[in-house]
Amino acid sequence: MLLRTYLVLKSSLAERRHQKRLPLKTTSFQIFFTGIQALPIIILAGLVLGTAVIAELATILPTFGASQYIERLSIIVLVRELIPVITALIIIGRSGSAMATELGNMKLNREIELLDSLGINLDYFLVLPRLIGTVVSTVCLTVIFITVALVGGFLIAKNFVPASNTLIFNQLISALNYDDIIVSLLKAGLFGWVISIINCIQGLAVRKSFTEVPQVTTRGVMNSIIFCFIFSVFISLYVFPAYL
Amino acid sequence: MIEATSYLQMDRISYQTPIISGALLLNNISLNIASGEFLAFTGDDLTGKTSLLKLCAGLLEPTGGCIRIRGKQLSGFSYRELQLFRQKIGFVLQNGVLINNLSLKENITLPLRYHSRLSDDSINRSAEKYLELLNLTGYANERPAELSLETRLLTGLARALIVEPELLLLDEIFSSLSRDNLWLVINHLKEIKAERRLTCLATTGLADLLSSFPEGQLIDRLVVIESGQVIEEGATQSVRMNLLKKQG
Repeated sequence: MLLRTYLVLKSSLAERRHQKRLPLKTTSFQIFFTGIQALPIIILAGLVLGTAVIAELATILPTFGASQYIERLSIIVLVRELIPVITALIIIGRSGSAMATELGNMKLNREIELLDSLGINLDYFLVLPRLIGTVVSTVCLTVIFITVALVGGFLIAKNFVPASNTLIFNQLISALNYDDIIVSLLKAGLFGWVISIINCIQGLAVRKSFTEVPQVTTRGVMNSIIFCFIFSVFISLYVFPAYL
Repeated sequence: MIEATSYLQMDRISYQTPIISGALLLNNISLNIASGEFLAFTGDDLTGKTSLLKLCAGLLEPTGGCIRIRGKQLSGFSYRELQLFRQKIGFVLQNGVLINNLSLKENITLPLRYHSRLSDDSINRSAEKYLELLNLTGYANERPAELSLETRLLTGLARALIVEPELLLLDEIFSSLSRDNLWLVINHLKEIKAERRLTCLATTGLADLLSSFPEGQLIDRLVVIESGQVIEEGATQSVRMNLLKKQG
């Protein structure tokens, strides 16, 4: 994965040095497909997850005399842990699998061979736009997810869950630290990179038959999930540990 | 002996395909192709004609022997040299392979948009010229999947010609063209060949060559391949005559 990223960046720099045009159309399409088209599901997930976490904590913590931790724990659970992972899972399901399938089919339809015969660098033309598009989209969707989960979750919990009526929005927002935002966005960027690189590698690994396409797609999805989980835990525990 | 003045030299090349293990698809082929020459490979199916074109484009590596372009060994090209070489070749792949999520016009302009620093206007003008020349204007905004094989092949040819190549590789395109379009392509290629010494390698099935390709047109030299080896080569007329005699 690291080697492939290195090769993509190296060949992209070489192509830019030779003044090749950036494949902007593919990049913007990737942002549209991965980012904009995923907005409805991200907003819905934000509302559901925000409401569930805030309402549950507001119901349970007072019974242990820990009401003062409701806001901070909501932030830790939502912003640092759940939102980046759930955003990644949505993107893996929607775009990661689509990337592996599209590239696999392009390989079998000999479109990759055609690009090669035209002297077009595959890493620059196919992988880089997907990498940029997915990283940008994942980061933006994570920001939107956080906003919807905190604002929407707070409003719904406060108005419809009786135990949550003591919640104060300002306290929730003041419980949010820069560290939390950095961790969340760092995870989002890393997940975007993992998802795009793994699925591009899998898609381009198709060799002979169309039956390989669902196989590489499944492998791409599974590997992306595993790596996202590992990176999430690693960053949470070792890079930026949470504090109350 | 290999001539130093040849544009492309095949020196005892062999190719073993990974698909058919153990068997040599091409065996000990040596040819010199001069600049501006139009050479056609013919033979039955699965004789390695397509692989031969791919070897010439550097898309495949020969398992034995070597290919030289203007005296320089192709397998010794750096990635950048190979990329520069491919910018100067036009390759029309078999079955009219195009990029499916691009329109016909975008397919035609793809190499120029990627490699050249020409303005969009100038690129569009070139595309329109070739669209008109090959009767494709009406399909400019269509996607390849919706079109016939003939239209896709003509689009592939337009894409290959738009870069003004020095080497044109045509893989089995003649057999899928209608009589009118076949003449259109032949006449246009003859014009380009006369204008700027275009070197062209084409493959065509034996039956198609004898039945539908117009006699005495375009092809300077014919090479017959059987079981991966050159069994006959020479001026088109004489080879064609021999083939017809053999077929009774």
